[in-house]
Amino acid sequence: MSDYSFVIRAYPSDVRRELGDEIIETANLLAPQRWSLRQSASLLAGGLRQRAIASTGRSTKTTWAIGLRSALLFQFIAGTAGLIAFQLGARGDISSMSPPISEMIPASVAVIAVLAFTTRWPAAVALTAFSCWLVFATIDDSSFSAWGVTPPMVMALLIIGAAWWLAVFGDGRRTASPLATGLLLSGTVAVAYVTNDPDIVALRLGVPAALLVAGLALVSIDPRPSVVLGCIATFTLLPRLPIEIGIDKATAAQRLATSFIPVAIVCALLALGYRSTSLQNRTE
Amino acid sequence: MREPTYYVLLTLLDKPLHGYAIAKRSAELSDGAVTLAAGTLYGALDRLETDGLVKIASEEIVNGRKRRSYTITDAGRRAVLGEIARMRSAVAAAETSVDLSNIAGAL
Repeated sequence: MSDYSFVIRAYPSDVRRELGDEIIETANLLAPQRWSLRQSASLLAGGLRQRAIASTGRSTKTTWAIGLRSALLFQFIAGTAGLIAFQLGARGDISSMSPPISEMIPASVAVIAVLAFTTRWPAAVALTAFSCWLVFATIDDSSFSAWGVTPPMVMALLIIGAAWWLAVFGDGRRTASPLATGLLLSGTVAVAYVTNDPDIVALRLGVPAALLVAGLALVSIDPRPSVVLGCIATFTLLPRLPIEIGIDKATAAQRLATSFIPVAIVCALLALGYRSTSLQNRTE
Repeated sequence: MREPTYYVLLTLLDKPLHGYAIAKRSAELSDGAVTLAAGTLYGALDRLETDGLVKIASEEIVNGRKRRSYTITDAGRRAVLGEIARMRSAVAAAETSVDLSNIAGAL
């Protein structure tokens, strides 16, 4: 018989305690000859769905309302920060915010893999490690400067702070407050807008990647930021697209694909967690 | 109603069943068209239980492992019978308005 005890870890711990043995036994009975990819994929998807449901207690309508509100908050703070940065001459464009997709996918996959099986402490550890890498990569950059190293350090502190705050004060079942979530995301991005220097490679790659990682960490605990990220991707991409196509079609296409990553995350989470009408019955 | 949900409810119309028996019976009833994987099966059972369409009938220990049996509720019975009526009506509409034999012959 095959053993699905590893993949069953995709389920939240209380579901595992209650139903884990039975689910494994059923999977073994349904595919008795050998290990089954189909059974494993099914258990993985089922576990993630349970996690998505467990991490929220709100209806679809409320989730979207909070997501849009948080996105507007983000737009206001980030927009103001960008305007200030432009006025101060710190930066003249926003195009460097989009990362190369080749850098985003491996990082995203690694983080999703970690977060799919756990929620709080490993997420905090992973984010701390990532933030440290961000800082060291910047310091190691040939165009190192005092101005250049400050933003990633601030970002690293924000990311580490957010992750550990959620690890300590979140219980994996209770959602973080919408205001706190919105502020954490907005604060991180605002720093990136103000300080992002396109000439520093580590920043150019690291800032959006760090933003995505921070978003994914929050998503593992509270799916609402996924809605926020989707809105951000839409709001920021669409106005820029015609301009970018006029400049460089290849770059524009690459950035379009990159921006679909958070949108895809939104869709996946909606499919996993919010499609079920039963979720609405559990709420409020 | 989605197909796996429909077959889960259908299998429970006669008597309470545990997870594996539900999956096996679903495959039999659908001539192998619906083969529920464990994750899909327990996801469907969880949703149906939350919606009040099925409930746990009993819990027993088999080979040292807990095994639950599920039974359909009155609401579940109404839901699946309603779905059967809807599908029957859809088939009747097709049979009365379209000459299916000609289409089948053409295929």
